[in-house]
Amino acid sequence: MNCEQIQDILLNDYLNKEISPEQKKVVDEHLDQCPTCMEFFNHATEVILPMETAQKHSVPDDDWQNIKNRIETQKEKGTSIFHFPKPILPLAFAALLLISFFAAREFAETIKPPIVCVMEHEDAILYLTDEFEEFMGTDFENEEYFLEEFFL
Amino acid sequence: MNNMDDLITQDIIKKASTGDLDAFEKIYRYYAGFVFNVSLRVTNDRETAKDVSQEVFLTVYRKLKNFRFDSSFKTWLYRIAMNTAINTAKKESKIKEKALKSHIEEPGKPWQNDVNKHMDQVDNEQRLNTLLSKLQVQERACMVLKHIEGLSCQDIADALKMNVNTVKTKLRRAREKLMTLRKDVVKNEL
Ligand SMILES: [Zn+2]
Repeated sequence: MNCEQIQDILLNDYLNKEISPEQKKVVDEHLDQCPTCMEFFNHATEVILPMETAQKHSVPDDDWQNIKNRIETQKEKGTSIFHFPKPILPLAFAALLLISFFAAREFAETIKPPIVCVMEHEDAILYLTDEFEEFMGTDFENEEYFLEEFFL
Repeated sequence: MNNMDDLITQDIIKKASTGDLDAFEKIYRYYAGFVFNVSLRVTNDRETAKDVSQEVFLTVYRKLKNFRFDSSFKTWLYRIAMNTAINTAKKESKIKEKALKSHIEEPGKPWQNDVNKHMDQVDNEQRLNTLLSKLQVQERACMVLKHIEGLSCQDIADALKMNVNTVKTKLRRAREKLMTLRKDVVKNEL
């Protein structure tokens, strides 16, 4: 393997620590006898070392208390108490089918669609978004960075 | 699939999803360290990281009832954490860019000051912050998950909802970028 190939492996699998023992051996042996690649390797390690040795910060003391308070405030406001059953979408769809069926049969009659369920606004949106995400395999909250992936 | 972490059992998750705060606290205690540290590194700001961390757990709490056990809870939570941290960091960097544009480029940018004059004296923390600030937000997220949290490329890909090859490309690009920056600084010094 030439130096270019070695440096390529170094920047990828080697520093990712996702390298086979055989390949690692080849790279290590090359490093031992090639000062250029060794310098390259040291240089790469140098910029990574501060991350590898980064200290872990402890979570702020009031963190949990703040989260708990905010959950409780939200509960008091009543935004998240309402637990919505999962199969509501298929149910709603089934209901819609039934309605269409009767609508077709009793063609001339005016039909008032029944209210299937009343749901908190936020919960409804959240639920439908999750359902749709699941269906499409997309995470809408990721939308922003997916767009950047494609266009920037 | 049984990807559940040893300590956070399906039972705890189910309880928490019905609004049980004690069960939710167990989830919080288990993941708070990861969420806070990753938020801190991705946003590069302690106060912002505190906000992000809270936002993450509120989102987790709110969305728990929609969590399906067909995927790993850890991956699901990591995804929410990374999403929140990355989006916040992007918003913050836009604000900072605006603020920078209103100033005329000053001769001593923090990176050059730090590195030219006291690269050896600045402590690791400061050096780390400077290095991370030179990366684009997604590259930073990949580097943090790889070199600080020690995740595999596949786990990073799952957490960021990216292709594993995209992760590898970003890691490589980030390393090259940092190496070039370092080289420039050394050249300036001579
Ligand atoms: Zn070589």
